[in-house]
Amino acid sequence: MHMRRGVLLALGLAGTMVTAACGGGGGTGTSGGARDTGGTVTLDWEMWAGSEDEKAQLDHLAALVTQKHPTIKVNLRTAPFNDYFTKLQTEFAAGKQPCVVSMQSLRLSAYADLLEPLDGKADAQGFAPAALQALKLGGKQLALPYDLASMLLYYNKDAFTKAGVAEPKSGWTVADFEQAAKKLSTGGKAGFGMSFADLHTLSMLLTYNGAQPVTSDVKLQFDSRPMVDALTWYAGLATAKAALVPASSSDVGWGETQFVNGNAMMAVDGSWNIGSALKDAKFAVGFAPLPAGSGGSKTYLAASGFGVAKGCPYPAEAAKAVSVLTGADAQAYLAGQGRSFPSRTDQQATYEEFLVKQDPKNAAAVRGAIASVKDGLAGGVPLFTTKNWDSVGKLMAQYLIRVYTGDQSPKDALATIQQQSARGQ
Amino acid sequence: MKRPVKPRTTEQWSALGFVTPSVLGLGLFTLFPVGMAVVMSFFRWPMLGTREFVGLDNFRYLLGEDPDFLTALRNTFVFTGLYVPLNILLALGLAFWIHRSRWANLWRVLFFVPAITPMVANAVIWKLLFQALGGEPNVLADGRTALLAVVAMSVWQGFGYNMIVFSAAVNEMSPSVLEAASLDGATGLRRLVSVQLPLISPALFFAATMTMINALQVFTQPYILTAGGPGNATETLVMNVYQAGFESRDLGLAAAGAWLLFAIILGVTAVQFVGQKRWVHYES
Repeated sequence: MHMRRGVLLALGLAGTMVTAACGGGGGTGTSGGARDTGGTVTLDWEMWAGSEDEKAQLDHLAALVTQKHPTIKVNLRTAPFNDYFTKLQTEFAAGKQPCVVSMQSLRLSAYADLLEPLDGKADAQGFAPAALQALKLGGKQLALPYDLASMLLYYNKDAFTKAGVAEPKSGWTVADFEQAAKKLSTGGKAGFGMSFADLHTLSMLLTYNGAQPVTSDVKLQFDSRPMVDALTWYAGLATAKAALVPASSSDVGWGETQFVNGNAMMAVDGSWNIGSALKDAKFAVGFAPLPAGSGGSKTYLAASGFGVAKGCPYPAEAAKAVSVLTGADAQAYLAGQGRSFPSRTDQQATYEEFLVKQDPKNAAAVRGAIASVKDGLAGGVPLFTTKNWDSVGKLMAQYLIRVYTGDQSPKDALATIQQQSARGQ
Repeated sequence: MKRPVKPRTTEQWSALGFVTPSVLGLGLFTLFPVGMAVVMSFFRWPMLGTREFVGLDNFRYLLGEDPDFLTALRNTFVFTGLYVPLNILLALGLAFWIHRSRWANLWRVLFFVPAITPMVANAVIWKLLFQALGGEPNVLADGRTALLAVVAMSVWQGFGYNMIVFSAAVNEMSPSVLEAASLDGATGLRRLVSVQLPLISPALFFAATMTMINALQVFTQPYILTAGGPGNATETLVMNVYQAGFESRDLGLAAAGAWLLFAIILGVTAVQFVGQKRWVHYES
């Protein structure tokens, strides 16, 4: 063996390159499930979870699957929500994706080619139509929903009473909203907390004049006329000193945070935060549908659910697992834990009762909130997004703030967003 | 040119044995990814989907069409141009001051604390401070001040490390040289510029080089404080790479951007190494 060190090194490097190149195959590998000798199939399920409590809830759901189908086991893997989609796409790229994939309607288009359509394979009865609709793309049901969210107007009841302004209610118009925001802007506090987050901002533009940033065939149209008009109106709240402008482009949750902190008297937030706003705010919180613009009150809807990854070696078992995870028992359990507004119509009352029981003195507020959510569902449209929605969100954060501070015109900012996100939509 | 092949001694074999793990580690986790990044930069390489060879298209896009890359390049240079001198001056000034203080060790610990606290936590706290500062618009939302705010936070976070390096060098200054200088009548500024700074010039060189490399790779501070906004006023090169890789899921474009950044850092560092011959004095 008179091999020189250089040769050894070169061989070693070549070896590692070959091994690594083989390991790094594209997202076509079969992974995410295994069958043991006894015939039991173990399926990987990836889901976001922010706490041990949430993890325990999900473990309970996984156990429900085995209860119903003794030959299917579900192995839960979790990641914090902020890392979840980064992790998921890396796993898909490496061919290490789970069989059961948790999916949010706003991200669906980026993963549309990687999910097995569930039409006819899983039980789709009993869901609110809007929830199913939100997880459908190109006519295919890519995931089944476990929750459903609409956007609401959160308001500070105490501030309204103190200023002698009539409280928002169903049928409240954009003009009423604007007037109230101006009246409530006194003493360093603002009437409204602005946002540049997609659901929060775009729902207000939608209710103002029906402006939509995405066409029905899922193409961006940020620079369309209605969008410019709606954003001009929305940004006008800031110039009229009736709203708090986010302090920086990284303040994604600005409006709702300032609301709970008592600095903004109204904000738009999702139905998922009803419970936490009631708990965290040091004032009485009220809920109303978004103010009605030219076409009545409207909101975007979003849903989260579970789908089956393409390439899963046991698609039939995975579809069964998804049926149980989104089934009536699972939904009743999650609603009873106060996880989120259920996608199944029958379980929605359970969620309402949970919120009431948790906070009995706010029972009226909770019932008002749920009524507003149901109102919202009636005037709601799912927000369909493009493949590059992450980039779009980033551009909205960077350029809408310039409009709010008066640094750029709505037309120019929307043109910039449109132009920069046209690549890869 | 034939040299006799020496028989392998046991020592050589054990040396090989010791070196193999780190060579393998270096190969697997450094050289291979670096080589792979070169390959990827010539491909359209979406994170999900099929890849295709595109030659220099990624580089052409970054330097020609990408609306953000050149701005990111400019922002990175402006950041570096402000951050490095401020950091070095502050660290140097404090190191000399601490040297004479009775509470030298206490100051050292205090000023080093920001350098060892996690950057993300620092940035979040500074963001809250900037918000509490108020102002219409906020300094972080104003395109004219946002980058300056990022520089201010970064200097606070970063100078502690250099201060420790300088502090050690200042303590190590040879007393005999300093005494000789004072006998020759060198005092004040003259003593600082002609005697003390040359004495600690190796530390200065080390600090300047490392700080410059870190500054060119700035990411966390603007990512947390401003997310690149308002507009693209605080977007940096590494943010551009991150955006291409993990938001646009275009790994080829990200690899190309990373390579351009690497070339820039290599160039700047090379210039520093050539320049050091003129001003860095090593005791032989």
